Amino acid sequence: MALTLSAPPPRWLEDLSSGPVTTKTKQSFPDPLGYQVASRQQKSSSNKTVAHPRKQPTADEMDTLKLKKAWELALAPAKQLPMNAIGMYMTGNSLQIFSIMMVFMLFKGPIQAVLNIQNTFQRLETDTNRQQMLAVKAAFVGCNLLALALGIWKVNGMGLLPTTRSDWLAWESAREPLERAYFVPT
Amino acid sequence: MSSFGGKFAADVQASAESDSFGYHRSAVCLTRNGRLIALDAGSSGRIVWNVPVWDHARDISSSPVLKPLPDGTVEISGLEIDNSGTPPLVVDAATGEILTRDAIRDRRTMVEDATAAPVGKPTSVYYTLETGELCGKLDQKDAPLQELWRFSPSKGETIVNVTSRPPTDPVASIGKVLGDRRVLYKYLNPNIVLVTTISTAAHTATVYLLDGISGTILFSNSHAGIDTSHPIPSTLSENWFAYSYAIDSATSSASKGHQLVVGELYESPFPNERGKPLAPRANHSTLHSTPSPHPISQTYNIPEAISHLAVTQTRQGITSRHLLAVLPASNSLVEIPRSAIDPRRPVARDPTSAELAEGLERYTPVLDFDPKWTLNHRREAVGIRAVRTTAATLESACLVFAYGVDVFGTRVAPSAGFDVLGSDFNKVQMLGTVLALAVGTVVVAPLVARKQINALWQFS
Repeated sequence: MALTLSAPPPRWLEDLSSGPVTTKTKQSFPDPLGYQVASRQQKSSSNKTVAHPRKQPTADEMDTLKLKKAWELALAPAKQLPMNAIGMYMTGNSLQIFSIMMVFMLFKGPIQAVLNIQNTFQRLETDTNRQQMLAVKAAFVGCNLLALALGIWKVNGMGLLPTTRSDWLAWESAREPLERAYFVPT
Repeated sequence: MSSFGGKFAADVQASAESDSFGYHRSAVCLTRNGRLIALDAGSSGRIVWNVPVWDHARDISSSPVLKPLPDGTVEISGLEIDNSGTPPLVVDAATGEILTRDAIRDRRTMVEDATAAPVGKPTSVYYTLETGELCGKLDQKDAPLQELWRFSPSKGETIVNVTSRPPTDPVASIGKVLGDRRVLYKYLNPNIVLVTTISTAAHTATVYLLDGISGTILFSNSHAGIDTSHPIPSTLSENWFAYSYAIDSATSSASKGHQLVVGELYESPFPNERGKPLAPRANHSTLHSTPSPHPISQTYNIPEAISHLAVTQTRQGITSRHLLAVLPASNSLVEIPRSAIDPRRPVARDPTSAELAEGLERYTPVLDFDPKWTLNHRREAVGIRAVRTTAATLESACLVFAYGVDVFGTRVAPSAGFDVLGSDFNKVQMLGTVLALAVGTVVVAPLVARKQINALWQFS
């Protein structure tokens, strides 16, 4: 259903589309760089930068911005890696409560992030940049896999991975002899 | 010396209260005076029943043998009273009454119906000592015993002792886990025989380890300068053996006194290898191929003579096995832990970190019997002739019974009671914590639910 406004648009709608208005009473402080003032009063001729209305970014620019933000989100786990590595080194290789908690966090974080990947990128995804989003998502999963690999390496250092022969010894069975010998005392 | 034979009866409930730990085993003993006595191992040797077997003291010509049977009876054979052939006596292990032939037959049929014959019974080889040689014979159906092998000692030597593994010797793990997580596979052959021979003229003793099926000599060791008048006790258990001898003081040997030799057999000297001749096959016959094990042995100087050796036994073999030694000079029974007599102790160097993780200390040639190892504490056990060990139902406990002139019984825990809650465990505190958590959960649950519902109504 389309609403047709017979009356002129309300004031708040104009403000929304045209940006903030300043009443320059005193021109003591210069405006910050890139700040554009709405041209409510076009008459005042100041030697400031020309205030033109804040342009609504076009769809392409929105896409580019969203893509940049998405890349930042995707590479954030990689920035956590050095901190996690140092934390692991500090907690040592013995089974203490602190090292167990640390390992648990290292496993939980990446797995939860990968499971919530749709939620994370939902706000930034639009119809037009879906192709590039796939690359971003792949990079996100890759960084989380790196963090998971760090967790696995730590678990290996603690000796918990069943990589050696002695870990599977309980499944090996002794050889059964086919004959039995008995001593008969005279 | 009294001729005293004793064996544990199987699964006899000697005490009225419930015996979930299996401590209340009966030790059935025959005295020289002709009385058959059952002692309860769990109630500090309380006499359960005491029945006369013959009316007054006689000279029995041979030493009797008591054997527990699976139907809850004890069979006494070898009782040659007045040199007449006496049939074996069968006694009910729970009450001590001597069973008549009909009663025996009834019991036996009941048990045989219950336990069906095992399918695929393995071929049996019986070996006996005859004319100074050890002879192994194959048991064939409907045919006389066929001689398979014959072991005769070297010239001038006589066989003094033949030892085999205990009939039930459960092994929990087929390999020894090293400190760096590799595995040394144990040579587990239930048919090995330890034969001791001595030569009185040359003062030597030789120990042979034979395979009971094929008669192959797997390991042999010879000792010179032995005092052959002393007994050479020996014992075998899973993949290790121990024996002890006395050095002749007349010879010019540098070491005097008594020595204990402990040896272990592995399938291969290299870890993670299962022995080349045999691929990891499920079953094999040593008649076709006898792989030779890799033996490791070490010798220790001990402060006094050992007259008998035994090894602790547990139900599943998970608990470590300790060596029990009877010391006649001090009338005591010691329990030597495996870590003190491990043949893999490093010689002439300090143990590496991997060996320290296994619990191996540096080898010292002298083994002192720690006073804490003595089982009979301040009591004296005089004239012990034999030591019997049996497993309790609880995995960490082993029942020990030594008899001779004195009768001594105890319960040992070689791995320190790992499957029992300690006496200082605070059960009240645990119950209180659980109850407090339960109450807290019930009280807080509605509050949390309310908070979560309210959170859904807010803008995210």
